[in-house]
Amino acid sequence: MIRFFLLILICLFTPPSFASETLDMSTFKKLPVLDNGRVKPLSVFAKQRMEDFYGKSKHADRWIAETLFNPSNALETKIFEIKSDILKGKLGVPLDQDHFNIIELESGLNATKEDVARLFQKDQDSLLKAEKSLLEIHEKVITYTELLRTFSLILPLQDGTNFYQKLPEEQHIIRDLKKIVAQKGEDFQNYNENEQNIARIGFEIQTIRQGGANNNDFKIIPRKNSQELDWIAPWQIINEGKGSPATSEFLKLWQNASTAYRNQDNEKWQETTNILLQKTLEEGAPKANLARLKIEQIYQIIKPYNITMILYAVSIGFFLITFRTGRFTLAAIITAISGLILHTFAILARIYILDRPPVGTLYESVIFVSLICAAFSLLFYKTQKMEKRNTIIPITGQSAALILLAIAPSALQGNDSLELLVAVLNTNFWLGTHVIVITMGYAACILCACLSHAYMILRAQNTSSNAAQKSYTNLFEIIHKTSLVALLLTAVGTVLGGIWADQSWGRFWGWDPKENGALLIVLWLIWLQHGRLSGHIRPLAYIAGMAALNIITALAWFGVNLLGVGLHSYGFTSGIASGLAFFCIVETLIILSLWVVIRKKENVKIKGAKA
Amino acid sequence: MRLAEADMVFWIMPPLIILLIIGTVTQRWIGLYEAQKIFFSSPFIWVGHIPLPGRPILLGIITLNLTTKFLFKSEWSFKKSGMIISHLGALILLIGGLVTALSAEERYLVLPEGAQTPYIYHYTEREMMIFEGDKPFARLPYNEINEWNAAELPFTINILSKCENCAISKREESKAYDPKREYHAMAQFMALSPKKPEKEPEANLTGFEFELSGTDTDGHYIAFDGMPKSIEFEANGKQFAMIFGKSQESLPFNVRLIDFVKDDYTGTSMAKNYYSDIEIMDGESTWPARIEMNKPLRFKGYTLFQSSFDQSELGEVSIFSVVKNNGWLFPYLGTAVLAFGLLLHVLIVCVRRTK
Repeated sequence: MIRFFLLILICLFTPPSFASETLDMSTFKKLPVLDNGRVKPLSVFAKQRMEDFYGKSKHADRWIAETLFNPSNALETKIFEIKSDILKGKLGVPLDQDHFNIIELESGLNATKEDVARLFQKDQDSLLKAEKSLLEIHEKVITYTELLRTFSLILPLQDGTNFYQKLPEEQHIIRDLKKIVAQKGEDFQNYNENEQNIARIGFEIQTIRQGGANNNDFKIIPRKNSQELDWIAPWQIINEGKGSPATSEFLKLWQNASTAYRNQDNEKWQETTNILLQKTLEEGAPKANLARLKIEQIYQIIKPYNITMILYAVSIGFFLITFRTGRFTLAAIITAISGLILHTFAILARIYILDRPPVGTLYESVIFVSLICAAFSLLFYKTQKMEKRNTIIPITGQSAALILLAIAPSALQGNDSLELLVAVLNTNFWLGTHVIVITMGYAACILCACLSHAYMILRAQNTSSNAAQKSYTNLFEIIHKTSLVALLLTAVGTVLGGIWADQSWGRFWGWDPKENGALLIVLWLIWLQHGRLSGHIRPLAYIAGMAALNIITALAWFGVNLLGVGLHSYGFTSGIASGLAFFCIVETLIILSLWVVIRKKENVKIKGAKA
Repeated sequence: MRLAEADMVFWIMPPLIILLIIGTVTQRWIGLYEAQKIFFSSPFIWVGHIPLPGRPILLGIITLNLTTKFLFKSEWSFKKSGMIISHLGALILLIGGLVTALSAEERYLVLPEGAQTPYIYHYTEREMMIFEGDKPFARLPYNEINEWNAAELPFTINILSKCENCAISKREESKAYDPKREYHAMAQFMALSPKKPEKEPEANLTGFEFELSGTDTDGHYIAFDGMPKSIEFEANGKQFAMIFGKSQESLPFNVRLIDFVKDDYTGTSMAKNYYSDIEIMDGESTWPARIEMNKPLRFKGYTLFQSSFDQSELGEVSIFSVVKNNGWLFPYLGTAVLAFGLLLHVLIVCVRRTK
């Protein structure tokens, strides 16, 4: 396959190698592309593809321009990252390198074609890691090859024309070629000069057409089809007969852009990309929206959650100083609120880009729960009377928010965090009610559990000072209030989920793992509250139970997805089982250890007092 | 009154939590249907020969506890109002659950584009339908299969073997093949043998082998789910036909599918929405309606949901869940009351403690 692909590229005109630093890429980066069902800026498309191939992204816009407009040069780019030595061995590439170009991989990929065909027949869940990585590298090469061939229909051939221009003569040329082959056989040497030209052009046309088959990854041409708006890749115009005067105009503009790129003509490049942007926005409206594209670009560039994490970390530092010395309170609050504002804006940006409520995927639930943890902790802190304000609350809340933001990327299924939703989730009403309420409930549970940890740690220190004792006595009240808020939100969120299920599937409750997980939290909280009220659960046990809410919430939130059963199939995740098990074990050990330490110290104290 | 105390909930919750965890985790291995039957629907869980209270009993105790607490032990004061209202909300939800458990029926309806039908089918229950000529003559439920030979029919059905989930093999290759026997209809070519049931019982290929006597063509027959052809024979000079499949019922109205649409996200095969444009034919009146994800149709006590579809060269087929549930309003009411009560309680507690 690779050899075939190389042949096609050799057929294309190979210009001298240009570095594209001289070109202004600012407009090019904004060009809208339809990818995974939504319109995104070209810079984001390029970044995500590069991360897929290379593991990280750097100058992705220049890389994609080179790949699209100068494919023969792009062949040399060491774009594929391979870290596994087993895979390197299988492909026969040097073990001391991690990055390879497509030419270096060619023989290895050809040699493993049969293995790949065999692996595709097997149950994908039963594949070993090395087998999966072999399949992945083959898939990546196919995707990359498609990208390289995107514009093969408008890139110049040896005679200066292109495939698209030759299209009207295609049948004629192929017929002539067949005649020549019938008369003089397949040996090129037997042909006269005119026949050799026909044979060369005929071969070019056939190979380019075959190479363009099924090439529909790079959807950059909006096409109005009666009432519906479709987005197509250049080759779909030919392969699926989707051509029109408007699509021809787009192809012409892309051809001009590719010429300007290869000639490094910045003026022409800017002019063409500007026209392309305007025209794509006009034809692609309302999906292609410049404000949305710009916001997504900014969102991807500034990486708001990284800055938010730094702000939360700094505010935790300040609050710790406040806890010890009573100073820097204002600085702590300002940094915490700054983090909160940025976090909120980042989520608002996602709402604007995706045009739907903020939580629809596991990743989104993690960043939203993080925001609510930080917000609730500041709210509870600020609503306390000045003399009673306990800095443990924001320290705990900000820490929970920070940790959640740090682990959020592990909840992503691919490298695009802005995902579309499956049909049953595609309802703004229920996403805006049930999902928001239940995730706020998770946040309240986590905050409550973390505050309970803080309480136990302070009590375990058992310092005799009144201030220290006051700090954790005061915390008990806060934990109780937070637990009531958690019960309110999780109970209401759970029954709202039941009503959604009734609307979608015709039953309020079906004992599906996701439903049972939410109910588990509610039952746990009810048990603790009633145990406390009836006097069966003493204050320390009550707090330990609240600390264990972290485990219950993690199981309900992430754990049920590991079962892979039920109607909530959209939440299934893989690869988090070991992390979750580790968390549950460590949490259990921490809670038990703190319990033992507190009981031991307080028993000693009571005995001492009696003595 | 002991039953009205808060510690009743304290004692009942742990077994309920354990039951919930086991019933959830085991779904991975035994499937939702089986787990629901064992851990959530049975009044008793049997550990060896020891019966332990199951979910209905535990929830029944909690319902009694809530009712007695609500009626006899409530402190009717503003301070406790949030708590009282939230308990009332929980009680409404539990009563709704009981009504649903006792009355809800779930069926499905399969409609190709352009077709109309009043018939709906049970997800798991099967039956043998016997026709005399074109008219229905008898319906024999599969769960009473052992009593079929005693059924009052002009012929006798003697069950030879049955399987919840059958594998189909060639007759000559089957273990019990007897060349001297008279095999008829599909039994001439196929034999059924049991295999491991599927996690979801609707996916099982249920079937059985049987012997017919008292007919003009006595001998060995087979029947199984979705059998492509009915078994036809004569008895007492009358023409009979038998077909085995999911239990059938009739809606009090007809449904016609005009168009099924799978609406994809642009440029992908990922569905954004599914919907079916249908016509309801109720007596003399006919009216159009649309059923889509999260937007069911409620009519004459039945609710029709877009549940699945099939697209093939033969055309599009829309599949609906059809639910009849007299308790469907309870969750809506219970949720509103519970939410209001809990919110009030949280506010009362927070304001009181801040003071």
